[in-house]
Amino acid sequence: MVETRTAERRGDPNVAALLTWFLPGAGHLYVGRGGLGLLAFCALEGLYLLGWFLSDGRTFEYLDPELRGPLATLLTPEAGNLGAMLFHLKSSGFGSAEAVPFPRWMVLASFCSALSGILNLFVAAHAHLEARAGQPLSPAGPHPVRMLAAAWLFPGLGHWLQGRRLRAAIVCVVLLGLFVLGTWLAAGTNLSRERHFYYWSGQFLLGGPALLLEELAGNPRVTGELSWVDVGLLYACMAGLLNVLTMLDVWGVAERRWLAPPRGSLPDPALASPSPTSSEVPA
Amino acid sequence: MRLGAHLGFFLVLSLAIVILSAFYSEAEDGPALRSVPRRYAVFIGACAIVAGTMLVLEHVFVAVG
Repeated sequence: MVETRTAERRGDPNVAALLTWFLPGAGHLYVGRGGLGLLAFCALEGLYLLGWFLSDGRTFEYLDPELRGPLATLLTPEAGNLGAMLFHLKSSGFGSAEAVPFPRWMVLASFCSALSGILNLFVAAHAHLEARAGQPLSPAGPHPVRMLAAAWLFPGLGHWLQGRRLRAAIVCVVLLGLFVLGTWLAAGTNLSRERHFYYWSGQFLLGGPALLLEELAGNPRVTGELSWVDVGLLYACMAGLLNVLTMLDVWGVAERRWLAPPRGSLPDPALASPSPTSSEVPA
Repeated sequence: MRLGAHLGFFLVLSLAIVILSAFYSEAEDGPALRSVPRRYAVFIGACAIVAGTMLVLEHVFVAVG
């Protein structure tokens, strides 16, 4: 993490991030960006509420009954928007105890609430950065949160936009290859939250490819024995989890470029360099 | 045959893990790529030690056959 001087800070970055985690926009309100906070609150809570209404509050009913418990939903994307998730659990729990068909828009509803959680993590990262340094010292570079979102949206896109093309290609090939291979081994059964609740949460971190493939080939009909379904689920889930590593890599470099003073304003050449060096291992 | 397939699946997944962790640890692409073989060997070796230890413990303490 790039150090910033305390005098430049608008507040405690960790408090800003934690407040956002509990309530989207609260961190921005804390650092004096009320308008942005209100926008984040309306957008993300609105997205979660949309999912809640479309599913009749039954998203967590996907979870197998024997796995349900007070901490069971902390490993879901919805946990990124903790306040909404707790409200959801308090008001609807794990859904109906009776076997009732799911609403028509259940898959879309699940997608909305999961997306709300992921997007709130980006908002928390933004609040953290705002608290540390409201004004960038080198505003020519793209905003780190934009790079982070790009890295989530498509594996390697964040690196590509940073000009790290070789790394982008390798990340893209490795992660997409792992995900496609896993999907093939699992015969597409991994593309269903209803079938594999937790594995789906992991592969949701792969972003666009996972969502697109689910839209195109989700919920396939299984007519025979699937020999390697466990391996396929593991591969697809690992592709999503490993994408978190690449997102952190993108964030580390983007943050350093964003917070680094312009060339020539500091005697330290390492800080003025726009390209990462071996000492710039992301924290 | 089944054991061979499982070993193959393990080698593929561990290669992906090692490549991405190498890129996370090294900011420059060149050193990251050059470090992959060594990291891969260490990863496989460490996993083999863990697997061997578990098999020995199973044989000594848990085997009921």
